[in-house]
Amino acid sequence: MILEFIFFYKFPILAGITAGILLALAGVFVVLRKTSLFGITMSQAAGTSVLLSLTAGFQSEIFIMILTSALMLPFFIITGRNTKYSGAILTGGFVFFTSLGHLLTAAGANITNHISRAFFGDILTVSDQEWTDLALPLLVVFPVFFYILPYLKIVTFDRDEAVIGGINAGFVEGVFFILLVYILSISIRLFGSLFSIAQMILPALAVLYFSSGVNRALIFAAVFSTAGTIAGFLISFYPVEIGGNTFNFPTSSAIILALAAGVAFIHGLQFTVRLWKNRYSQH
Amino acid sequence: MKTLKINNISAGYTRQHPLLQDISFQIKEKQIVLLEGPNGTGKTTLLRTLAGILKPLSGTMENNFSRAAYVPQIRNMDHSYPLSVKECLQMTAVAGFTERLQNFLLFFKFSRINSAKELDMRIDAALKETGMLHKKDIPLSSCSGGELQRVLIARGLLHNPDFFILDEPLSFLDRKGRTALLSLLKKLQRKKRMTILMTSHDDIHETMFNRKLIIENKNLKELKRGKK
Repeated sequence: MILEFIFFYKFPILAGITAGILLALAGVFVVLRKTSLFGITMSQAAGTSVLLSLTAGFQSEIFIMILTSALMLPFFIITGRNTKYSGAILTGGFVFFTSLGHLLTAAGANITNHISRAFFGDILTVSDQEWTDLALPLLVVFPVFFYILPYLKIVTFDRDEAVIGGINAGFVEGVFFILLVYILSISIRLFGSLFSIAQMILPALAVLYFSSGVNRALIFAAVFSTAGTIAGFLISFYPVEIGGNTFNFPTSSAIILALAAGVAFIHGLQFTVRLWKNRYSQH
Repeated sequence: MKTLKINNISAGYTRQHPLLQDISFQIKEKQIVLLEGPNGTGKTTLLRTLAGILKPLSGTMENNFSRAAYVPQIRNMDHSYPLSVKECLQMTAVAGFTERLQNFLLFFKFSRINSAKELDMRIDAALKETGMLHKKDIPLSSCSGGELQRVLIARGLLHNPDFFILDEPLSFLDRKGRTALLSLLKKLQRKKRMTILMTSHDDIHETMFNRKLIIENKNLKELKRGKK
């Protein structure tokens, strides 16, 4: 039965895993660059761009990417200058884009369904068409990401050293920005903004504390993201009975909760081990 | 003779408010030059301009040193970045975009330095020079201030520089650590015939440097030895 479920939902599962891994890989750098809030605001800007493109009846990925980039450009410039209010400014951007998205979904009528889809997505409804048109082209990001990876590592760790070494740091950051916008815009269209934010931030949060190298952190983040996606699918597969009613958990939320539980488990385990080690060393 | 000649350079972040104005000076090879000045006068800005990180707002630089290495202030470094000491050096060996693509397509190589073995040898040599070879596999986050400073110097040495620029290398070090680091710099200057330009807020004995420059009123003055 479970095999039937997996076979029936193979495209949603594959699309979820692909987007999840890419978001987790990019998320490691989003967190390392201390730009989590920027990434989250960007995800809302990408969501708004998707809704704007739907409203305008012009559903082109390039259009969504350009629009997201244009919306985020002021924030990119402000946070690049490292002002002490950049956190507050990004939070303002986050609530602005979220509210704008809300307005746009209201304008499109059937508000509850639209909001639900914009925020939580509907991973099980990913069609064969969406897999080939949207999720499959995401695979192009892998070679580009791995090509810029060594540059991204040095630019993130020590931008000045990268510049002295002849690396065009602005170009590397620009390519990373475009990749992130692309992944986010597809992921939000298919799975909603909360899934995208969770896949971008939670795997990095889970693995960065115990990874001794960036490459290892990237591998662990990809594995963690995949495990979370599969766990979420399985959780949503089995019906739950509460108060005499039987229902299935929504898949996107189940994935997010599985990822969050994973983060809590890893940090809890680390805390316990550290506590135990301290006690042991005292004796 | 290798020299760095600065002609009427203005440095800073905006043309309207340069931190340094119309500076002219010359640094010859094998010198250790100490740059002093109160906080906020533009010492780091000048070092970053000389290293090629910032473009001068005006003026010209004639530089015939083959390669400069820049060691930033360790307080600006991200200690939590997940890296080992070895990886910190390794990551700087990445080749340029097109060179790397060519290397990859023709030889399946990614590094600027020819082989992984050669890179490892050079990393070991640089770490040995700074006394950090025995700690090459530890995480950067577990290095003390002095150790991190030595790692960054080793990173600079990896590409055989002839001009070393260090921004407050003695900050966060105790007396013993300061003496050890100054001896290391002196040794590098002698052994590798290196030119060293560094800033410091600490009193450094005048046997440890050849020249002392001080930033005052957006300009640079040379202090005679023995004067404070």
